[in-house]
Parts: sequence; C-alpha cells; structure tokens
Amino acid sequence: MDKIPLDRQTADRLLAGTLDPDDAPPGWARVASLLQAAAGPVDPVGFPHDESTVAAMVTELTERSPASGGVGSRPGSRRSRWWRAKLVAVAVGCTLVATTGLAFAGALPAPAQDAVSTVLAKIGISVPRHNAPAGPEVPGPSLNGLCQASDSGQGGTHGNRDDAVPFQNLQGGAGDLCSTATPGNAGGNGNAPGQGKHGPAVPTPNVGGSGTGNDTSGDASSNGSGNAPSHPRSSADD
Amino acid sequence: MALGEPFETVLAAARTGAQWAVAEMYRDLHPSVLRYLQAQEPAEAEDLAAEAWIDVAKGLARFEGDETHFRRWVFTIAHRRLVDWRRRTIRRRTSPAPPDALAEHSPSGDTEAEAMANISTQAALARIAALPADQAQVVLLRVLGGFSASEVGAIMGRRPGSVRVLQHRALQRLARDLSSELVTRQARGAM
Repeated sequence: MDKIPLDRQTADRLLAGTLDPDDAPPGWARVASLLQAAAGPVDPVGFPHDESTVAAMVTELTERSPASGGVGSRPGSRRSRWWRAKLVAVAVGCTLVATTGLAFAGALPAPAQDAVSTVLAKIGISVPRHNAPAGPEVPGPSLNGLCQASDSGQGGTHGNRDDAVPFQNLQGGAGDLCSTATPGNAGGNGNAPGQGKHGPAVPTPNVGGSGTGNDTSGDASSNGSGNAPSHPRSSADD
Repeated sequence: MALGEPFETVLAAARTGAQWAVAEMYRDLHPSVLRYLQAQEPAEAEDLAAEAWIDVAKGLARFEGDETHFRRWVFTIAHRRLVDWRRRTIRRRTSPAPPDALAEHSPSGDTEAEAMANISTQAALARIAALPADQAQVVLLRVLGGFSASEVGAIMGRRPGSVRVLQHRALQRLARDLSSELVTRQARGAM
C-alpha cells in the first residue's frame, strides 16, 4: 500500500490529539480517532500501589531531608563528602611529611623523636634518636682528633670553641665520647675499638666540618681509615 | 500539571518529605506514567512505575527546573526504568498487543466512523504498543506525555530529527494497518 501524504504540521496535530477526525486529511481520520482514544481519560479504577509508593517516597525524602541530617540533605552532599575525604587525606599526608622532616632534623620532642625513629627504622629509614648526636658519622680517627683538639684547650671560650656543636656533642647526652676513644690505638694503627680499617664508624658530630683532614694525631689519617673526614677546624680553631 | 498549589511550593514541600506534596505530584503524573509503561509492558508496568517514583524521590533534592522540566524528568526516569528492565530480561517485547484484546476491541460496525467510535483507550494503546518498540515509545510519549518531538528526543536520548522520522513511520504504519483492516472487514461484510 502506498504511503498516505502527511505533512509535519498534521503529524504534530495528530499526536497532540488536537486534530478532529472529521477535519483530518483523507486516510487519517481513523488514526486521529485512535490517538484521541489513546489519550482518553484515565480509568480511575486501580492504582493498587498508590499508598505504598507514596509512603516509600516520603520515607526516602525524609531520610534525605536536611532536618534528618540524611546523606542527601542538600544538593551536592556527595561532592562535599568527597572533598572532606580529600582534605583529610591531604592533612594526614602533610602531617606525615612534616613529622618525618622534623624527625630527620632531630627537632621533635624527645619521646616523639624516639617513637618516630623506631617506626621509621622498621621501614629502613634511619632517623636519629633524641639523644643521638646530630650530624654525619665520623670515623674513629677523626673522633680522636676532635678529642685532642678539645683537650688542647685551643679556642676556648673566646674562640667560640665551647659553642661549637661538635665539641658540645663530645660531652653530650650519650656520655663523654672521648672517654671511649683510644688515642693510642687510633694513632698507632687505626684499630681503635670498633674503628678498624674497614670497621664501622663511630658517630661523631661534624657540623662545621670543612677542614682538610689534617688531624693532630697525624697517624690517624694515614694508618687509620685513611679517609677520615675533616674535623671542624673552622669552628674549633678560630 | 494540575497541581492545586504552585509547582514551586509543592516541590519545596515534597523535598522535605511532606506527604501531601508527594501525593499531589504522584496523583498528577502517575496515571500518564503508568499508562505509558502499561502500553509496553503490561505485566511489569506497576513495578516499573513504583521504581521510577522511588528514583524521583531519591533525586528530588538535585532536581532543578520548572513544572515542564519536572514532567519531562519523571518520564525520563520511567523510560530508563523500562529500558533497563528490557535489557535485563533480554527481550524486546513480552506482551505486545494481545491479539484477543485487539479483536475484542476492534471496530465491528459497517462504517468507519461507527467502528472508531467504539474503540477504547485500552485497545488504542494496544494498537500503538504493537508498533516497533522505538516507534511505540515516540507515539506514547507524545500522546500520553504531551511532549514535543524535542522533548521526546531528550527523554529517549535521540535527536529531534530521529524522533520525527520514527513518529512519521509510526503514523504511516498505523494508517496502513487500520486501512487494510477496514478493507478486510468491508470485504467480509459484502460476502
């Protein structure tokens, strides 16, 4: 069967139910009647879920209303929760970084410093404890040299020697480090206890260490580890 | 919409969970929504409509717009529920126009006017529902929802031009079927 001509305006009127069948173009009267019948009055009989659906909607809306503090209490609440979570995460991250940085600098209070040191040690990060001397580790021969410089009395109060951190640390909380050093052995063959040629270094402060490594013990650098870092002459001897 | 109160008042009250406002919205739109769903999935229409209204309640706080937008929004949700259900059940049409029902409500008179005067709303909806699914949806949304082609396109996720093509095919098909049916009946009557 051939198509019956239908312009756009007639189609819109048909679908809107505003085209009376008597006024319809040839071939469209039955369609006009059909569409008007489809849009006819609603049969009032039977909406069995009316009350239950409305009650469910009210429950849903009440739980989400601002008064109930529900999750949907306001538009964009989901986005707000997301931002809160992000802020908390950033705050925690910043705190961790700051704490770790302060721990590396040894600037935390003693208990916190010890705690952070213990925790970070478990994941392979070395952080000084609160009573550990600050500054890089210094091999034994340099320690001996530092002790000798300290004992020699050079610098003194007016030379700011007593204010120098390395000298302060010699008498620090860990006890007198010079008392554990053995100048004889160090100066002789460099085998001070725990300071063998390839042995572990004794942590010694070296904050101002920019010197030349010419220890007063002489042999320490030649027969000891052979690569002793300089002691802080710049601050001790000035 | 035939709401007694201004739409904004009803909407604001409904957002707080006021039962009278929710009921008013529901009573106003539910018959059209249910009829739209019943024409396509008679057995599931009520459940689908209930799911759609719960979705409306969930999203009401985020809804922005006037009464026209609200009407379109509700139909969009109902349409999506229908599409989702069909996808889940992997079937396009569980209850197309019941042949018995169509025969029962089909015109029986000798003249065209007499025949069409007796057609019921249910039979008319069944006839439309017998169209291919997308064509039926377009016609039902336009007839029951009173939406324009653009609005139907927004609801169905199609372009207005595509909607117009679908509605044109649907109307041509209805005209052809009704005409051939009339010719058949007239031939039988002459025998």
